[in-house]
Amino acid sequence: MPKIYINGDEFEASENDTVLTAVQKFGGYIPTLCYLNLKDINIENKPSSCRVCMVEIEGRKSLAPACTTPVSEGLRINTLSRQAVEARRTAIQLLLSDHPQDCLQCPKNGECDLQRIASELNIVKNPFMGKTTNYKQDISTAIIRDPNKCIMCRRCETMCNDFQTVGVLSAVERGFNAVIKPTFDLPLEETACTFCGQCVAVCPTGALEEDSYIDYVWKDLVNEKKHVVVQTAPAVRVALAEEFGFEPGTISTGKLVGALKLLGFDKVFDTNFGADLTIIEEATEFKERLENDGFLPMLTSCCPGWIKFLEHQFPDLIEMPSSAKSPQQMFGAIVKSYYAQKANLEPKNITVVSIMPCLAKKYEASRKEINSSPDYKDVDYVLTTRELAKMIKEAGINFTTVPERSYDNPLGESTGAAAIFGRTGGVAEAALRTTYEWLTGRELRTVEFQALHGYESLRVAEVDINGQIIKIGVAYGLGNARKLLEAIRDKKIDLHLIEIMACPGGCVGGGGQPYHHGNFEVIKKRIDALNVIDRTKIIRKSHENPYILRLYNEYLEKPGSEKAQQLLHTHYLEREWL
Amino acid sequence: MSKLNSIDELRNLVATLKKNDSENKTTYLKVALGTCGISSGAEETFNELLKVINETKLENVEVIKTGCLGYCYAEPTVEVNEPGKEPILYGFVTKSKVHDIVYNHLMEGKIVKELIVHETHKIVL
Amino acid sequence: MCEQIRIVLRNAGNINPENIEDYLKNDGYLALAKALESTREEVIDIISSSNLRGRGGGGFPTGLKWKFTMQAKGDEKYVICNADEGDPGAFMDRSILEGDPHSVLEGMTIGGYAVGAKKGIIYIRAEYPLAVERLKNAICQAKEFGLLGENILGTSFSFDIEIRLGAGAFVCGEETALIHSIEGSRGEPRNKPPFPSTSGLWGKPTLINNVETFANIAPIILNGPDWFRQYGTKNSPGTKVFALAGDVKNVGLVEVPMGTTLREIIFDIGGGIKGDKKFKAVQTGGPSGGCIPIEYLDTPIDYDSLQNLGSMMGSGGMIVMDEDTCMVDVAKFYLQFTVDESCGKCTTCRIGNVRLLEILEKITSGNAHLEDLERMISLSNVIKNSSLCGLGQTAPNPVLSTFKYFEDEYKAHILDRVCPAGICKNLIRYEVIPQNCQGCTACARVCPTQAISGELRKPHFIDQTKCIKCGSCYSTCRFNAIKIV
Ligand SMILES: Cc1cc2nc3c(=O)[nH]c(=O)nc-3n(C[C@H](O)[C@H](O)[C@H](O)COP(=O)(O)O)c2cc1C
Ligand code: SF4
Ligand code: SF4
Ligand code: SF4
Ligand code: SF4
Ligand code: SF4
Ligand code: FES
Repeated sequence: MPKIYINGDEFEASENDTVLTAVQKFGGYIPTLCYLNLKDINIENKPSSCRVCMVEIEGRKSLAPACTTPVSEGLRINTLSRQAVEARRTAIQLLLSDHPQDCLQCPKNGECDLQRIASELNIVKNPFMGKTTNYKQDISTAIIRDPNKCIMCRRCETMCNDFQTVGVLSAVERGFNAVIKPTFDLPLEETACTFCGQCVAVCPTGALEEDSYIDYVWKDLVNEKKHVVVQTAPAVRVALAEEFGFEPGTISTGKLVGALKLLGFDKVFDTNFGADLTIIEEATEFKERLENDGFLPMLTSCCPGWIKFLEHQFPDLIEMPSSAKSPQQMFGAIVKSYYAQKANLEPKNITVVSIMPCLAKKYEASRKEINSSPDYKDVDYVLTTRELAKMIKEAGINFTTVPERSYDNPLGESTGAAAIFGRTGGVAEAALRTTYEWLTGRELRTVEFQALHGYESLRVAEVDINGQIIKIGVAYGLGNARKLLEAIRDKKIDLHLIEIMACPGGCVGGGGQPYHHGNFEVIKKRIDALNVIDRTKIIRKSHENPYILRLYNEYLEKPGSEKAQQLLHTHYLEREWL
Repeated sequence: MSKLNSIDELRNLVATLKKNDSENKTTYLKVALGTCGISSGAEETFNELLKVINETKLENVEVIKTGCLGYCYAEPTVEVNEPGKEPILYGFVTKSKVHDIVYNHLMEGKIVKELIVHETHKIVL
Repeated sequence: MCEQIRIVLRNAGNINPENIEDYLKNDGYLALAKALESTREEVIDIISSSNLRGRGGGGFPTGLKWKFTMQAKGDEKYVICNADEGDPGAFMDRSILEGDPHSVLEGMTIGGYAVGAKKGIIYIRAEYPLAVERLKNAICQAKEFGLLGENILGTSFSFDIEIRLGAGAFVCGEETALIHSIEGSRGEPRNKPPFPSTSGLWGKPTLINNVETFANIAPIILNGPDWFRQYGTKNSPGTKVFALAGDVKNVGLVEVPMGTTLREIIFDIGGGIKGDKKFKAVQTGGPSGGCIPIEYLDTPIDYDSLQNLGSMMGSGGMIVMDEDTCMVDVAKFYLQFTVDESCGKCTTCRIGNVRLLEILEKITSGNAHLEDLERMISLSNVIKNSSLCGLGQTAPNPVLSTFKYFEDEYKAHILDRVCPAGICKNLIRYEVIPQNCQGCTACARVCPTQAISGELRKPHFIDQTKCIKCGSCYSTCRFNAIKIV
């Protein structure tokens, strides 16, 4: 236990502390920009590239970056040194000198770490202005890259390479022209990018942002001829409130619905209904594969980031995922068929908007083969949780006082099983609740499978169904998915069902959620909140959702029927790894 | 050459090589053929030396390549090492000067004064 | 009269580098033999007490580095020879490798024995094809003779050496960038600690030394530390090879004992200034170093004295500048090099050095104000204190040192809008001296922009709005009728 001195005060640090962690434990503060430590998912970005965390260390000629300087016995750290503070200010001024002076029009305005630290360091003028780099924006269906706002913190690179093992983003060129670019400088759209949005989730600036569809949604909302329907994903209700100053983990379902109604949506439905439907179709397929020696393991298919990853990286395993569409897409297909019929509307006059924690969902909605008709899109616009918050603010709605409302029917009712879709292990658990009862014909007393709970990124659980041991793999993060799939390909592991989510903790940690700013605790709290929702539901198994049963009775006939196949199932494409 | 299988074998080999060397009656013409020498035309000097030595049928004279001696300003350089004598370093020995050196120095024993480079180094090993 | 002392270049120019027997008969590989008969600790003791310091620029005590690497825990260890030599104008490592490749192989093998490594890698610039060829040949011969490979000289020690071609960037000479480059990732440095001696190539303890450092090893082992310490200074024993260049008569490689004065090197060995002009400054240490003015010509040079003067030993570049040199222009030249070679990883170097260069450009183009000097100095200090690797940390040295010794020249550019040396284009004018002009029209004919007019045999005239200051007229006129003002 090295004894160190922080601004003159003695402090007992621990062996593997850095100056930064020691000062933080001590209760001090040092600004950081590039450093990011997501301990829970074993991801640490420490390029020491921003030079914003400089401190003075007695006896050393140069300043030291707090984030990467280990402590040692007797170290005397001065975080308040004028020289160090001036160096931090200069580093920020230098970053700003090659940066669009654009905060007022920047989507990141108010959430930007660069902006925040510039303000903390009292940067009110910049003596170092000069030539600037000039790159084109790269706009894809889900992500906009604006390299002019990039500060080379390399966080995105770490997420894309180390966590997702997709490796699309990396630093290229040298010196002043050094910049992060996608593979071969291609537009992101043409690469193996999965649109998981984890790069966006950690980018401290506006260099990576979602491609926003807010304007389109406003247009349709005021268009008399359009019947605008909205669906909200499970993970949105446990995160949205953060945008309005509530604690992480606050459940705001009623306010969410209330706000959407105030925004003028004609119907506020729930993606959770789609999730229950997904379980029915997926469990049917799973039961079928189990009983008829089908292709095992079956992989879940509700995460479009993961599906795109599979298509690029494991085209040989393309038969493994369930053919069931994701809840978002099932929901869209049902709105434009069943609901249109019921409400007596032309599908093309219905606009389906979804509110998602996710960027990949934007891309998913644009997949050609996923739509049930060539004439219209099943889901027209996908907004992220963050975008919805912006709309609410823009409209002048006071979220704190919004009256709580409930979802509309017939597509607004959902079970506890659907709620946990938003967290890691949840889809597998929801599927098991249904499969168990279908296979055994017995009622499942304890609906929670503890082995499928938890925050770890790679888990394997076993469940005894009718004497048969069903082995389930759960992974989040595509790097972990890769490990599982490689083990399967090499026949090193034998599983029946695998749930994979691209994002940390599942969709609660999605690329479209309120920024966690490097604090994984936020994601854990959202997971806990979803479990609370599950537990407070009276109906906790998808196949008991009365509106689902009615949908089959009135329209789809039975799970896996021809009509269900046509509306609720899809196929996948073999892609190259670029 | 077969592998040296012990430290003693190495020591013996070194001793033999040294002995052979001291009994050697050959005059060596060392052409500095590093990158710097080559770019000043030392290859041509080297080839010309071979040619002229061959023409004159001088015996016991061998032309060898070495690395750079450091006198870059005077490249190409040729060092004449006659057994038992102090080596003489010539500089600016372009192809056309080769003839002079071979005829005057090697055949007639007259040093070509105007081409001598003043050596500023000594080897302390 | 001062003399060069050759330890490192003992064989270069003397032996045929393509023949191992030539090396052997000059006591080649006897140091390895002696090392193999000693314990690892004994070998490291010899190197430590010789006080040899790394010749790659930093001057870190070599014995200490060997000791750290030996003590570091690791199932595998590596020895890397840094032959990336990217300083503009430096070519001492190339000359050693071309002239005496075995001296480096022997040094590395002794290093491998001492630290407990089985594998050596020479990271060499791809621009050195001859050195690569001679190294390959030397490695082959050494293997044939059982001096490399399994069970060297019948002992239980095995060591192999492999050549890796550099990625071509100057910064890849920085040890952590070099290691990244070997590992196949982007050649950019990382923060230290951990140092390569504990976590280097593939995370294993790695001994990384410069070519010249390795070339010193065999003589030290053979002749002992006391022998070595008789050359050079107390804190920097031994010799250093310099690449002497610029406005000096005898350009070339010189190896002198540490502690030799700049005057001895430039005037005794280098033969003085070309064209018998006046000496103005000498730049040591390449882009990381600084400029030393005439007042310090008698400083005995070693690692510490050069640093005290605001310069560096660096890898041994030494560029002599005569009175016609503009020191602001020199600073700009070196900074341009660093800006071009920066890897772009850290803020202060990526952007800071560009801003610093912009300030210098402002000065040399006559648009600067006195406050710009303040900005220049404070920015230089931040870059020096905050940058991630040696490249950025030393980049402002040329600026700081020229400003320290030639402040007046900076001020002349700013206050008087003149370049005293007549170098900075925006601050000079070419004018015809009518009394001298014979009206021969030679200048008018060479001027690329037809800025010169005048009738035959009558004084000519330069139209300043058209003149691009190429200086063609100045060098063409045979009557000294064109002046720089
Ligand atoms: C930008 C930069 C470039 C460098 N280039 C070289 C080089 O070309 N050759 C070299 O030996 N060391 C170079 N170094 C120093 C190495 O990082 C390292 O200190 C050296 O190889 C250690 O060897 P030594 O202890 O024998 O000097 C460079 C350092 C920096 C910061
Ligand atoms: S990225 Fe941040 S600092 Fe840059 S313009 Fe946007 S809000 Fe401002
Ligand atoms: S969205 Fe995901 S896959 Fe695409 S670049 Fe970002 S981190 Fe990589
Ligand atoms: S794009 Fe964003 S996350 Fe990536 S390096 Fe640039 S600033 Fe950092
Ligand atoms: S885990 Fe959820 S939020 Fe993340 S990409 Fe998949 S579906 Fe989207
Ligand atoms: S100082 Fe320059 S070269 Fe070194 S890491 Fe920083 S940007 Fe790269
Ligand atoms: S946070 Fe330490 S260098 Fe960026």
